[in-house]
Amino acid sequence: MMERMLQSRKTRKLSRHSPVAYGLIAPSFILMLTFSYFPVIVAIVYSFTTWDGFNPPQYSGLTNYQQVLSDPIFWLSMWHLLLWGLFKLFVDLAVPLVTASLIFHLRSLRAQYVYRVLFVVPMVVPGVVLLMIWSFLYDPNLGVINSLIHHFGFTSLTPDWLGDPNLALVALMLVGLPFVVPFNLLIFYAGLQHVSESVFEAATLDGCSALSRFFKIEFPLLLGQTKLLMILTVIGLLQNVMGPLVLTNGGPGYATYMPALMMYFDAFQNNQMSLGLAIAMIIFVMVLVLTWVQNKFIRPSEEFVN
Amino acid sequence: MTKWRKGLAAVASLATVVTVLPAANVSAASAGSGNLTFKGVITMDAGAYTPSPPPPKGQQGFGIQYVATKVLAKEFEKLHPGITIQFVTSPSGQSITPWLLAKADGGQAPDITPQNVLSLSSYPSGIFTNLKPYLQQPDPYLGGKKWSTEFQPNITAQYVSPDGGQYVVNGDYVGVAMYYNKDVFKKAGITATPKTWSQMMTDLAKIKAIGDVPMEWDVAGGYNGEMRNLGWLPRIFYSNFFASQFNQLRYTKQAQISQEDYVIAIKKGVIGTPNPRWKAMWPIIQTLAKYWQPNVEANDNNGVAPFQAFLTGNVGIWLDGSYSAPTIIQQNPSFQWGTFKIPLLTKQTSKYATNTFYPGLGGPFGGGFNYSVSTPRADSSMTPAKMKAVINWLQFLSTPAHDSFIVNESAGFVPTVIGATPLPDMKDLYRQTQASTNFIDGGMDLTQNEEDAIYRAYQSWIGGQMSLASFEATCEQQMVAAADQLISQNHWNLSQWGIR
Repeated sequence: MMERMLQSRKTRKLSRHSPVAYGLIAPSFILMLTFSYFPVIVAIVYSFTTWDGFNPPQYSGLTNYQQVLSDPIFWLSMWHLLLWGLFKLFVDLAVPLVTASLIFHLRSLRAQYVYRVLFVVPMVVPGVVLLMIWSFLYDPNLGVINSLIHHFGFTSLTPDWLGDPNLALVALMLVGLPFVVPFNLLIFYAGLQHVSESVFEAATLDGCSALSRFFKIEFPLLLGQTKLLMILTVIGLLQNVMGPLVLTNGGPGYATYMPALMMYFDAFQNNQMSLGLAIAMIIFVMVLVLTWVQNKFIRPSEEFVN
Repeated sequence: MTKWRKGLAAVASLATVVTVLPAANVSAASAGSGNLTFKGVITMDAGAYTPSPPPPKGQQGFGIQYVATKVLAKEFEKLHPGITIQFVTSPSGQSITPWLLAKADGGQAPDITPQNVLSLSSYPSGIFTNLKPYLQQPDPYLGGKKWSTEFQPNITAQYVSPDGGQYVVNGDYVGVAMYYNKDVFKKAGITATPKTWSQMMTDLAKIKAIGDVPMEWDVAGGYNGEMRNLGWLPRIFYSNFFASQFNQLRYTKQAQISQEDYVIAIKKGVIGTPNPRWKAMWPIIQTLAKYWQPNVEANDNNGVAPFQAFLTGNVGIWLDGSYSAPTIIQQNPSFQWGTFKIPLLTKQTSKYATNTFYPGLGGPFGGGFNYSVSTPRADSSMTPAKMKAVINWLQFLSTPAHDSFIVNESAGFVPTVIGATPLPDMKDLYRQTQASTNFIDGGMDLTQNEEDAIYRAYQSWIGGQMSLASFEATCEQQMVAAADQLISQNHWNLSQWGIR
């Protein structure tokens, strides 16, 4: 009864302030509609046309989708995406999670702070610069990696990292080693800070080892963060143009071709903007489905969290 | 090369002298400058010739400081009060295409942009103005003569687009040469630079034997992955192999082999896998590829990696454009270096060789003075009065004196406008621009789609993932598809050649 009364009072208060509230929200809302939603709607509509990106589009139904879905190169790029996705999901989540846990359990708060800063500082390096650095690291003649291999006497084992079609995708996957993704690290660290101290104390009293504490307490309690980061990682990977574009251009041949790269080439190189939009829509649907699946099947525990 | 080096080393002093020249040239050139009603801002992305920002304190003298276009802009503004030239640039480190396309869609494209005529097919039609009618109009800076008379006919012929229009005006030329490390040559026991292809192959084997990298080059040469620099090879080979058939290949009787001619040749099987002469190039390339740097098939940051490798002193030959010479000089490598011409293909290399030396590898396409004008649809500020002013500004830039002033500042290009003067030690390259450049590309760059697909197939073939037969089949399929696309797009009636 009391609860209902409070609720009704809240509703009345809200409705009294609503014109002002809506007025305040309106500019942001209009800007969001204009710059975030309108382009998406235009993209959806234009993906059903033949459009070069400049001249008036002509309705063409599902032609673009049929063309994309019947293109073996698209399915090859999807295969690359799957391989890369599985690898990336594992390393980009596991490594920061373990690192966050290790830092969190350091006794010295100063040490925690220093490690956090050290791992997060690379975030300020622009992505393209990072890729250029990796490009030089991989260079078979001048690169650090092959120079080290030479140095240790394994001259015959120096690979052509980005030029060998069998190795190029692996080389792309390894960009970012040791995979302590700063953003993911911070999210996991923040998650650990929200776990009730009493949980850790109880675990200590029960004689729980660091390993079982990680698997039985920390990981389950961080499922919420894991879910969020899984979604963001998948979205990031599906939109991944820059890495393959800068390092391999999707090659050699189609060895590192990705759906987003295909979208970019179709839209901006091959004069087929609507085909690029169709690929973008397919990627969009994939993101939606994967997000729904994750939301449906990963249910984090709210228990023991502050 | 010694000549080149001396000349290029003197660029700094020359640039200082030349900087003072334009005032005199301008007053001479501007005896008549046309009456312009437009008042306002002309925006120009001058590409390679964009005025350099002032260098940071303490770094004066490092790198080339481009001032010519800025100096000329000031002179133009004096001649035409009320007009301002504003230099804009596309975001650095990325292809200009997406940026310009986005701008054009919003009607905000700059008035003038730099365009490689070979890359125009990556843009939708309607973004660039057909300059052909303007080229037929009097140029006030030429005393009323037609603007077109300023440009070399052999170059203009290469700028005709499939629809018969001309969308780019050219004012410079880039050469391609074999840079070589004299110390490596000496170490390998090579006493003279190779004159023929077979001599070069012998020399490359010698360099490989001493453990150095025989040859480096930037095969991808761009962000978009077009064939770009790989396209240099078909030009060397087919210009030689098909030299005696050049006139037959000019089906439409234009000065150069046009895209329409290539389409006809492809459809007739003269260009493409049905012709063994066309196929003969690829096994030779396969042999040559064994001497290239290990990561030749990787994207290479726009040629930085091969250049840096050459600077290490462990590379015998580096194939690159004349634009790289000033950079090598700037880097002052610890070894002696020089250049030699692309060796001549002879019967020793292929039975189809015709002993014809094609001097024009490189050409106007890769230069910096290649400018297009946006249409009113792509640039909503482009009124008829403004168009007149923009054309006038381009006419002003392309006078012989101004072309020389702009282009010589780069020290890596030569001016192509008739009457322009190259740097003293670039005269050899300048003569190339005037020579008959009857080149034959091989029909592999008709559209971006085709070019990209062939380039990727080539990578797979050289990388051992595809057989030569499959590669050739891909080329044929892509070339025929591109030919059909161009026939359909341009509504060409090719029935007189038996093509439907």
